[in-house]
Amino acid sequence: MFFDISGISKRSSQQYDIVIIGGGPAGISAAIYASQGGLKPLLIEKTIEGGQMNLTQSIENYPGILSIDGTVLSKDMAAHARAFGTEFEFSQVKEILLEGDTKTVILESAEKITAKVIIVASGANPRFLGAKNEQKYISKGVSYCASCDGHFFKNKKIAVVGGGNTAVQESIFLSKIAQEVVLIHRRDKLRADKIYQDRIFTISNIRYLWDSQVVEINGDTNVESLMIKNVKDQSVISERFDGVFIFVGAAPSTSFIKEIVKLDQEGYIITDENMESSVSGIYAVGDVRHKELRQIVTAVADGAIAAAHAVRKYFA
Amino acid sequence: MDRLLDKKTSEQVGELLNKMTGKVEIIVFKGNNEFSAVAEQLFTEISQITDKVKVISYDITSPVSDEFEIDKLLTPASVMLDSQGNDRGVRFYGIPSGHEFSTLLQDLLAMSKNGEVEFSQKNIDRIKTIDKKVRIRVFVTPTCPYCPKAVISAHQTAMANSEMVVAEMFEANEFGNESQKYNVSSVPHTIIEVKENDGWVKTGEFIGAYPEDNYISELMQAIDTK
Repeated sequence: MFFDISGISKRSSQQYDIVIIGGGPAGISAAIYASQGGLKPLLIEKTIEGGQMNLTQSIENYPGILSIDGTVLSKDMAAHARAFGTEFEFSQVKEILLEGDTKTVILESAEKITAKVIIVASGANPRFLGAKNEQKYISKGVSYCASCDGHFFKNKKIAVVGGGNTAVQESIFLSKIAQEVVLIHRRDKLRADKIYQDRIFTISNIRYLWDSQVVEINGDTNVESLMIKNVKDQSVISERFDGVFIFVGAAPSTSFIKEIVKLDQEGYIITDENMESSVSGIYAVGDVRHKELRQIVTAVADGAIAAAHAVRKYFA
Repeated sequence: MDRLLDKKTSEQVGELLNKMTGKVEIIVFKGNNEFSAVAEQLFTEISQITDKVKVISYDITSPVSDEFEIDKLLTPASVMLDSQGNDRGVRFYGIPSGHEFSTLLQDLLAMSKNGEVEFSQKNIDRIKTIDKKVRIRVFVTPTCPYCPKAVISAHQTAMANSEMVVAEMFEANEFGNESQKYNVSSVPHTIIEVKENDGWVKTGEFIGAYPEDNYISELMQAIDTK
């Protein structure tokens, strides 16, 4: 049993030097560097400090830390930012307005906050698979969060869709709860890092359907079966499942800013090497940014680069 | 039972609850189960950290549970009374541990200010138009980071119109039967029910933590359909 006390703090002002949108590792790192540069940052987070890190059972590629629970690293990072004076606001950003050099952030409550610089660290949300009936069965056996919903599938048979790090790590987690996990991947091998592959292949209650795609989800009120297509020979089979967890990548969270800054074809924010977007004074860092490798270690680097640059360019 | 809150957490809780203005009372209805003992202990530990929180526990068989319309089969059930001693419709079924612990603390702060609601005035005005009895049940798990937002939204709705709305956190692991009854397999799962004659009728539900405006729209739509 653990006791989380985040999510309660409130901001003290309507006006900040720098407003950071998103409280994952990129946003927190930006906040620390902004504070160290002498600024007073406000960090706005919609759900929980640490963001998606909270959904990871163990993080094993952050230098200096062999293995750490995502919720613990989240708390530690947020505490670090607080210790240097970052204020947290738990709310969702609806819109950003530009008037001259001043940027106005509009919150879901319609409150307004102004800032000279905005750092967008809003991350990405799980992507839908696009299978028929997927939307219909969300919460009725279709899930995108193993740590949230895994408990409901104790001793049941579940499918995991995907072949990347998240799909593999969550399959390992779910194999401890479910009777059987079937990992369904559209290719003939996993994309996940070798360390996770070595681990998953030792687990006896995980089975694999290679070259396969879930095309349709069926059931009465809840998920009862999946139509699975073999992409090699185009054959389709129906198999019984109690639930399906989908980990097929992420889509950037840019609804509040997509009309303002330049995005790439997939909707990620394009920046220069200083993390500044097409609008001066608006930066993008972490998973929301157009880049190759989306990891905690690259997110914190982005945050540091953006904040340090903003300090020099706009507040010197 | 060992202490639930370690020293560091207790200190942080104390610091946060320093901002409470009035006193808040938590009434715990206990059943013959381990969860009830844990819930009582958690609230008691908080009351030992700050004198702004008072905890009273009853066995669920006590007639006091009828005053608050608590189902005898659902324990532990907890009710929060605001700084004026009024029931504002804030309920917890199960232990608010994990991420839900922050919900509990936020509720304590709001209730210490006589049920302070942080929705925009426009949304508060909409909630005040609710003129039938409404019950909002939010199913959560302690490990779900999105869940506190859904519970806070429900509790704030109850605080904004306590005459008509009761809002309940339900810990899905502890209440497996209720979870099954409402077909919960993803959290947060919000169920909206309207009272008709003597029973509650489900008129809407949604999954996930919605931004304020969407939340209020979904809620009002579910209530208006009946």
